[in-house]
Amino acid sequence: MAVARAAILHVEDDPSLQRLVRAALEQLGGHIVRSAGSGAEALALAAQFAPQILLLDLDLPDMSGLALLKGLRGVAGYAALPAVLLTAVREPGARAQLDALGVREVLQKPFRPRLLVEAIDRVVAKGGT
Amino acid sequence: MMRLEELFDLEAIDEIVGLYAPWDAAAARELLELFAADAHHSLVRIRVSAWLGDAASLRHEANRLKGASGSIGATRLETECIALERCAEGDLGELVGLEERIEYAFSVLQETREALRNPALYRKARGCSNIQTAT
Repeated sequence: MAVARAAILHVEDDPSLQRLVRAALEQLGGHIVRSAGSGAEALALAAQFAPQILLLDLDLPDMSGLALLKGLRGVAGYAALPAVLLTAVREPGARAQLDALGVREVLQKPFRPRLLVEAIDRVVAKGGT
Repeated sequence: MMRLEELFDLEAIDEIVGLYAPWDAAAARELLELFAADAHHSLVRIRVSAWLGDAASLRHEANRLKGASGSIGATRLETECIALERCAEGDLGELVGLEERIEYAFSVLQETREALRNPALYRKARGCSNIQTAT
């Protein structure tokens, strides 16, 4: 079944992974991706971009991904957006805490592009958009 | 000099090249070279952390580079990052050979960078398995 195209805000400070994720989601998934390299950049971008999914690294240069997620929940239109974590952190947090923050999937780095797209498509199919 | 198969997960490289081919064949190589440049900075930060005896920063940076290396298909470098991460989980003051291990990771990165210039890496990824690799 074809999955609807989604707008995704991706927050990742590693420029090569930023590029890889964007290529995967745009070329394989047909999604639209805007990238931010830090929490501050993501918060600034949030005012101009209305994504349907947040894709976050936990290990950002200026704040943790979870702190960013809490901050974004206060931005108009971001309160209930589904979030996906893409992280090298082995234990990103208690499941209950992640659920409360709207985290739908936790993906581990290293990752394969196709598996990332499948995870995003699952979130879209469950009503993430 | 290590063979391409020793440095990379060629299936992962295939997948990355496939994201761009055929409309932008140079983009995959640019992505891999961007990774290699950033990896060099990461290893410098790891070296400084070791000099400072800062095990937490060393482990954090090794973990970060491990995630990027594995995602990009640079599996030999990923293996070195795992070793560095494990080293940092112990007491840096008691570690033997950490400096040598970091320098070895630099040499693996250098081989990885040189291999990125090998067209066989990309031809192989497009299914031309009969092309000889430079070893």
